[in-house]
Amino acid sequence: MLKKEKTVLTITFLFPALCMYSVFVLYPIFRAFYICFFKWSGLSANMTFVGFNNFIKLFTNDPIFWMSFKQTLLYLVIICVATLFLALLFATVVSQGLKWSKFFQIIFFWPSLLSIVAVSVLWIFIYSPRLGVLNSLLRLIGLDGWTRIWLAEKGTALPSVAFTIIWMWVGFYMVLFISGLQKIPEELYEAARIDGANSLQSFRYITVPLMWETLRVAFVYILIQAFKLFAPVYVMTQGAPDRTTENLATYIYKTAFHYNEWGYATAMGVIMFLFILCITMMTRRLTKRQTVQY
Amino acid sequence: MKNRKYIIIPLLLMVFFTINSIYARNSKETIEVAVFTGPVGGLEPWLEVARNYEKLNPNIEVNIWGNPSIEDQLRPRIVRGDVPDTVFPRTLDLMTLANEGKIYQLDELLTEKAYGVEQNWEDVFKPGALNVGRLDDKQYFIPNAVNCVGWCYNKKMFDQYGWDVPQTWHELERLCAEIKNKGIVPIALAGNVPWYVRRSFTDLVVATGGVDAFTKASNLEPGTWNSPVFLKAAQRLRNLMDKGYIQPEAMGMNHTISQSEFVFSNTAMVWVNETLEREMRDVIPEDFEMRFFLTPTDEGPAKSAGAITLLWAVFEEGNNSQRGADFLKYVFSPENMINMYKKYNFVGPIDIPLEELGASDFLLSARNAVKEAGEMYSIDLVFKWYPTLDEEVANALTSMLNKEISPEEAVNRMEAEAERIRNNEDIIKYKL
Repeated sequence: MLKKEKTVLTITFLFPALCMYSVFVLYPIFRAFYICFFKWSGLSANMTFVGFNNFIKLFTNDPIFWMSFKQTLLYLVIICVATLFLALLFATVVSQGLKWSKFFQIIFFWPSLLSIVAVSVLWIFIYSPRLGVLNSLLRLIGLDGWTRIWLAEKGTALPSVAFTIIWMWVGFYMVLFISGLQKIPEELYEAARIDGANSLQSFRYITVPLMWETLRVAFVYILIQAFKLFAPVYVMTQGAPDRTTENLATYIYKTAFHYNEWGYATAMGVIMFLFILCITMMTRRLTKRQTVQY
Repeated sequence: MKNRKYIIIPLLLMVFFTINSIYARNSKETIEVAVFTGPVGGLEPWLEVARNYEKLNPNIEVNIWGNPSIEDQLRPRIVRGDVPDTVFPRTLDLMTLANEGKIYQLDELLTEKAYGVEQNWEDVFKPGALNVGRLDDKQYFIPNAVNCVGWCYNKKMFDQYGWDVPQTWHELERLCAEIKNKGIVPIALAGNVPWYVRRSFTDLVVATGGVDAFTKASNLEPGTWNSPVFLKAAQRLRNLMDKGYIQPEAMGMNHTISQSEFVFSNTAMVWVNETLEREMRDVIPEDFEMRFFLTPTDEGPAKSAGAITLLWAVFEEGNNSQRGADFLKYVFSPENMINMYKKYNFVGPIDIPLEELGASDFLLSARNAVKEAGEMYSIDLVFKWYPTLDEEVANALTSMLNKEISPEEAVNRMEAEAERIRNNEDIIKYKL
């Protein structure tokens, strides 16, 4: 009886959240799987069934989609590698118990608390070619030749946007890794030192294996975030110059809201969803290891 | 309870007034108006317009609301069929809605008397202003304003160096050379904002080849987007950049920064539109003087003015579309436009006596330049019809000005996109 009552109580408390989740998350996903088979302007109740035409167009007749896809992968690689590497590096240094480490933890974590739009606008000003901090600093130290129109040149626009995101996300992952590092017993490092291991060996044979689950979770999470990236790209460049910073999220947005092709945009969204699902599952499978107990 | 009356009486009064207000509300005709609050600065001006309209029409209640992104709220309502009566959106695809028969036609209303004057409503508009709201020869939309693209120049600087307003394109190029020789950058341009570059290019196309060249391109006639006129315009634009007449950092500047460069005298001119004075009013130095001219042609001064337009529309399916259209007639009446100018410095598409209203010399110079040109055309309409063309034209121009592609390659890209649209039967085609 008690178990039954407990079950009823659990369901009662979960019910409102489940309702919200169903309405605002599950229903739109299922509806997207329906709309992707239609041609729809998004401005009337009339939708024309087109079968798989949206997907055929996507795979055979939309070079912009594939260009955006390629650029999305580029963002993914740059952001994932740089963010996780820097986060792990900072976490390792900050966990040494050095002076000012708490201060640096706060400094590095603070950007992740800011609104992503506010950060994007801030960096637009930093990158501003005439009065921006970056070019002004370069001119000040005599590196005039290094100044660029950061967000308007094809070679620098995407890395500039990526750097903004890395700046914003490093702190969050650093804190995640710090909590992982703090769980590793100090005795293991002492034993390694006694056995003659240097810092790099300690890092490779103790830190990484014992941090593996944390690293795995962080990697999957950043993968999903980077794939879906929208606000910084849209605010900073809107895909410009000449679509060189365009990723899937901004292209899908433009297809729906600017070109009024909601059916086609939804089809792209479905492909993006399936791709993220596959890559997440693959990543989890490939990075699976036996858990190291200590 | 001794003091029951002290509870019952207020309760009865409350019920009475509630019923009374419900009755009063239901006995009034209501219209719903949704506005994009960007151009005039907030909702307050429009609330005032609504209240003034209600004073003239005591049996009408205007439910007016707005924000910078009304489209997000309008879209699901349009799908549901539950639309406001009158709208002033920023990015909503009004063309598709008109094509689907969802927009109220205003032709008949234009032949009625305007509010507060003896003239017909269509006669109070600036010459050519209504053209920008016509589609398939029917009046579906009213332009919120008809601000024209042109050149704002630093009058004090011009007077100081004895520079004259150029009367032909070649004079403009020579002027730029003279300005540059003085160590001043001639032109500021908002290169980081795609539609600013696209508008400057369109302006140059019309100055080079006439409105007809742009009309043909808008109608997607084959070979127009990479015609000799378009190519010449592209080459001229590129030439301005190559010769250092446009700020080298222009491609990284938005309109606020480029306009600031101009008002702080870092450049002699800015290629923008006549709203600059109102937009930058809080930062323009007190002693700064500017005037306006349109892009001259090869033969002489401009013969047409390219108007930037945001459009008002009335929904056919609104609960009170006729009244909604009448509200629009009031909004764009001389009386209301004069009031909006006096209070909010807003210049709409109605011809109002700016001199009598104490308009600035800049505004008067802009108004006179447009009047002298005679003809007005919409610099934006074709790009509202075909948003992918808008994007491709902007992208091609950006790459050209970044010196990544040649003018020939730029116009060929434009023609390729025009052809793709022309050949795509799924895309609705419009004609000017």
